[in-house]
Amino acid sequence: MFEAMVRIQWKACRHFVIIFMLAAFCLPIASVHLGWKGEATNLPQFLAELELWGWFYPVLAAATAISIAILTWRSDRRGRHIYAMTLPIDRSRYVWLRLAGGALLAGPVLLAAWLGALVSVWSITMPEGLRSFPIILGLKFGLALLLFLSLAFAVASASPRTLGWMYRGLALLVALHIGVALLWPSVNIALTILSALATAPGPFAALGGRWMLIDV
Amino acid sequence: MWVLISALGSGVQAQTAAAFRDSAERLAGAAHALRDSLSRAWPVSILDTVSTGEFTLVSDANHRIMAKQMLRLLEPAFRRVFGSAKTIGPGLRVNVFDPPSRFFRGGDRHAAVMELTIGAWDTADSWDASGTRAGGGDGVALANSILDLVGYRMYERADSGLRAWLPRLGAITVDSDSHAPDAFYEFATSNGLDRRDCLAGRVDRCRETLGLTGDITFDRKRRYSASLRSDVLLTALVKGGEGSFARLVASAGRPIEDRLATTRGVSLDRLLAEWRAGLLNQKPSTTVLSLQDVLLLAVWASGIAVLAIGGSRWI
Repeated sequence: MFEAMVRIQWKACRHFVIIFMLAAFCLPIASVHLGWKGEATNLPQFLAELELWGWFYPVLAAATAISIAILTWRSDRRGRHIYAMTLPIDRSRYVWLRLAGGALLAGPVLLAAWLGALVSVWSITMPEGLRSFPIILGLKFGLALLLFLSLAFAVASASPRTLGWMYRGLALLVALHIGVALLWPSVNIALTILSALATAPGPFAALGGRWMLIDV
Repeated sequence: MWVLISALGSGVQAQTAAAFRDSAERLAGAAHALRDSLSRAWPVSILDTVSTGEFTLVSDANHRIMAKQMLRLLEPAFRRVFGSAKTIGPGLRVNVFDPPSRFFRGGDRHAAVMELTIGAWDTADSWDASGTRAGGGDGVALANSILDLVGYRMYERADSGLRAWLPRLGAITVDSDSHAPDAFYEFATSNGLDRRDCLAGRVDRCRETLGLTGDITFDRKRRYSASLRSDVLLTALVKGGEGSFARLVASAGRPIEDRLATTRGVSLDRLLAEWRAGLLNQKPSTTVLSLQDVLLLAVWASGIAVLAIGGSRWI
């Protein structure tokens, strides 16, 4: 059943997976080679540019995960879940198979990023004092991909009723934020929540920092 | 033998009760003078004085904890670089409270502003133009500001030959050992064949790129910046131990390469090898992802996935 599920998902999102694979392969190569001028490379400038390029990795991971999650569940939504309900499995197992299939489809993108990082590092002579991190960067990219995939699947697999609750919760939060900001200007609820998410032990804390393929 | 006994005798005589009492009275008198001078500008009730080694910190009640925290940081950091050397005058007095400008010029009453005054602290005249405002911030930041100024003042005692090589001593911080925080990054990313050779371990190239070959003209494309030259001097001072600063001052007039070697107490090549090795030890252990990050991401990803699977409904 898992094989059939993966085949259906592959058909639904193969174009995007291929595009993201190409992007993931080219990103490390482009980030290194656009600033690399051999012996004449201005290393501080090169590293500063590489750091800016690094922000594309989490963006690419998020775009890949969201695309796979949406495209995976599109056919179910379009067919009003009739096909899924005819299968002799319960809902949680069905979602698990979908999620596992999504993770499998994200695999080639991760592999492409890894290969691209290795190729870009091998293609230059590393100057003394600098180190390359293709494996660690690939691991970070893979973990980011998994995190975004889980989040995107949690939203995409939610029933209309659950989604309704989510929207209402979000609207309530916005209203609360505005109300509190009007009454007590020094209290910023939205910023507090965002800070909690972006700092340890929040889910996005580890995605911050430097996404450096080459560093000191 | 008689000479030895007579010499010992005069030494013991200097420690008589009368001499000790005189010293104690002199110290007490100085402390009273300090308190009197301070009371002319501020109410005595708000003052608190903590002192150790070269530093006397005077604070009001609001800044008492910060002053004590700073004192704990200042003295070891000062001793690490300057060893047993004395500061200018009888010591440094650091005011950790709102300065007179708060009263006379209507400054920001909430800002933690401080002044560092260098000079004789036992008369009212010590509030002179050498007082420097060190700015606001936490105890560590303020201690670093003070150390920066102390380093500047101490370096002023160096002669012009040293200053032609290094105009100003780099920042001394409370939380670094013998290297400036950004020194490794500059060392590892500097351009130019000579500097890359120094990085790779060729000490002769290090001598050239640091301007330690007699020629002190600085070609920016070939030579290391002043901050790295300062790092070499700091390494010599820190690793040179107790009397390193005194040796640096005493060696005035000699070539800079000799002075650095004398300060450290080893040959110049060995000093440069130590400096290079010390800088390379500053290499960050984790740059992209730590084990904690891996665990955090794995836990969150699996936690959200489990919630998504378990909480999903058809309608």
